Amino acid sequence: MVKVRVSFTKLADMRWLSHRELVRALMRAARRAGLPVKYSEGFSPHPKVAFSPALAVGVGGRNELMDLALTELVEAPAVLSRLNQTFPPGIKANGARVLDSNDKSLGKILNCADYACKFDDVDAAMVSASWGRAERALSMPAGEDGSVKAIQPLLLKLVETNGGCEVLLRLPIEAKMSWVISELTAGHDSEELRHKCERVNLWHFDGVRLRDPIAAVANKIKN
Amino acid sequence: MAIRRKDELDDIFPLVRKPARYIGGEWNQCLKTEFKFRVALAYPDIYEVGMSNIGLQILYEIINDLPDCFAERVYAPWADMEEQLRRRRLPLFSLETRTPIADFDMLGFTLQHELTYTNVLNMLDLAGLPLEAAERSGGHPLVIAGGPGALNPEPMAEFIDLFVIGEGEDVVPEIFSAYRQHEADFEAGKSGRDAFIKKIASIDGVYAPRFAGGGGNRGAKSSPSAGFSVSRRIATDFASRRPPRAPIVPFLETIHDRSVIEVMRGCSRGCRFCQAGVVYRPVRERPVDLIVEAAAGQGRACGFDEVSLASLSSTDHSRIMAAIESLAAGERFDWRSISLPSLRTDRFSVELAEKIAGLKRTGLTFAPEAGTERLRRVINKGISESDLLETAKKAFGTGWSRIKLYFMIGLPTETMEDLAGLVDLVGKVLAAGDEVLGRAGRGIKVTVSVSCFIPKPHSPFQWAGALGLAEILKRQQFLKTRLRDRRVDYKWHEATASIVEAAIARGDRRTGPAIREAYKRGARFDGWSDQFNYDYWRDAFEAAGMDVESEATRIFSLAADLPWDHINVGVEREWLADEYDKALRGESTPDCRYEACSVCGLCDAEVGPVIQDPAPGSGAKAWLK
Repeated sequence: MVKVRVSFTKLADMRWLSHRELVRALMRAARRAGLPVKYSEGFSPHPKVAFSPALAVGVGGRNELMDLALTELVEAPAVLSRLNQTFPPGIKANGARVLDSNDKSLGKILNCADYACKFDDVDAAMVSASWGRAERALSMPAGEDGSVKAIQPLLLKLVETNGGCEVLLRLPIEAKMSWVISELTAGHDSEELRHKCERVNLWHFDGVRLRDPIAAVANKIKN
Repeated sequence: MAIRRKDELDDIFPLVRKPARYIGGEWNQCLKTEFKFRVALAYPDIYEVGMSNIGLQILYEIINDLPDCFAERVYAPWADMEEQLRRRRLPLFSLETRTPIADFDMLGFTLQHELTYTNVLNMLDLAGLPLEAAERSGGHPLVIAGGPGALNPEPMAEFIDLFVIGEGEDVVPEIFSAYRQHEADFEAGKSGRDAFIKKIASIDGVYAPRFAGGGGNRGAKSSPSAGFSVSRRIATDFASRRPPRAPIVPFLETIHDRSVIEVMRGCSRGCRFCQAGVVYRPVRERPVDLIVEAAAGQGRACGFDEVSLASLSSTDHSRIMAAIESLAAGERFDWRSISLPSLRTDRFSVELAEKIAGLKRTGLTFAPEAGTERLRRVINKGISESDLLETAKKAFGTGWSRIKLYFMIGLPTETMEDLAGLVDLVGKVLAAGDEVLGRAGRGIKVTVSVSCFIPKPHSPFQWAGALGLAEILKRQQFLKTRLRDRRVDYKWHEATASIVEAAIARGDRRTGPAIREAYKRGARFDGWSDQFNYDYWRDAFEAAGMDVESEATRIFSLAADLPWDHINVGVEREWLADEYDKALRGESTPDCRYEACSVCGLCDAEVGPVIQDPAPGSGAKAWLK
């Protein structure tokens, strides 16, 4: 058995898929691509695949992750090109790596995520102020033995746009985007506040620095 | 009206459930930039239901294979989306290109179920089209309807320009030939519309209600007088025709959610309540090679891992075993699961069960329909109790723990004794489970799904009346109090919805105004129990001068004109009447596939059955093509 980690996008109209719908689309594409997906044994076999945490309906992704177990080795570039021939528009594989015994599961390593959000009809100053409150609520205490520093929420960027603003946030993986968004837009008349949100990166913070889970030196395709 | 900004819908999607219903973009969708004729294929229910309809899948491919035609899809928007469209004054749009439906040349509905008819009206309205066919003019798309509902077209006649009667595979390309021939008229548009409709109506199997039989509006009452008839079209060479190569792969979970291969069309069993068994004759079986190859092709093109062998009665296919063996062996494609719809108990065998047993199980369905052998003879559903119980034992013994049983109440001649028999039969199925599995029998689950008999046009029971509301409720209650075993899941259908379904199914030109009234009062998605509102319908029928329950329960005399007599499905009316008579006498008719031809009148020099491996005594042999 071989595991391949694939990073992919969930953009354009694919934003509107729920996690289950996305998984369904990915697995069917994998079958169309002729990838030898491994199934579990037993009464109700299912494909052995793991995903990065669910993105809500309406939230896009630029570097989402999937670990696919295959019954035989298919090299990473082949996995990428075969998948890209059969993904619907909006989903594109942009990185792949065959995992080895040192790699841990996505569930174990993904602890940090970057989000880009665009807001229309907001006051950038109010958003900035709201961030302060949100930051305090999201901040997590360091690990008890002090050896691993927890992810601290960061506002990496805030740019005022025509009538709104754009932010780039770095958050612990547990943070709920819907909560963050409602905090950031608090005080605005949110009847039909338009926003567009994307998860742009997923990270493994090892206590010292951020690691790209694909760390695909050879195979990364530029976004 | 138009979708103004490219991302206009992005403002709406956060506000509706399952926006994936409206985005299109699925694998295998067709996109064309060069074409002459643009068709919107419409299923009047939500995406998840519509995408499971094989008929539209077939037509989508046939039309898109024509170089100058482009078919797109449109489904009924759910209430939340409808609200947004209306509020923002946005038109109903196609999935593939988000083109407003009013901009299409043709809008084709499939009428699968009477309780979708108000959705047809709603979709016309959302598209910005007049509901009445007579009020549409040159710039509007031609509104065409097909499917089983078109076999009694009169209830929808005032809203539809043209009905396609029967199977669409041949007719639809002929309609486009007519488009091409009369392009000049078509392009002129304004004054050419009626002439154009009449021209298309001259195609065999096409019915234009406004112009049939000499033209002019038919009187509102009852049936149009005899003097013309429209004959059902039967697809030529169905058996050797390839199933769809590359069906669109939905993002959403749909009713089927798997590759569906039509292994056979038509049924010779002759169950008397069944319209489909009459109107899809003759039986035409596809060869095993074609089935397996087509399935493999779909598997590769779509990425499905389950395949369903669909037809009215798949286990009657003379080579079904070979087909399943080949699929299960994974010779052409690695299938995770094979499913068969409702199984006939008299053909089910241990070997068949074992073939599927190695793969993922999907549960077994049987349709005894009636609780006693007497009533089963009346409806000509030849399942003996011992067959059913033997089969149940085999099923439980080979690892199935879930069985679904379909029944109907309100069948002609039914008494409380038959209902008691139903309860009894379920008890015996449970006992069979206990016998085979011992203590493990406590884990079995039997779903008992009981619907209300609806008399359907062109079936032997077309003269019978549906059961009245009070009596349906009484019988449902009877079953509810007796089907109490923890392992039994009793599902019943809303009685009032069945009354409305029957009233429309057996309706005529007077019914259209009632449908419109109900729609205006707010009726939508009537097939959904949480959306159906009987008050709308009862009031609507009353406003149109009728009583909805009477329309459902009325009995037609054998001498009367039926509102669908001008639609000729190919069998002799006398044969249907004969079958009805035999039913009332409790006499069964054998299946012409295995025994003598029952002379329904359909088969002739041109039309006949296609059976891969005909049985020795087969009456159908005389007509084999």
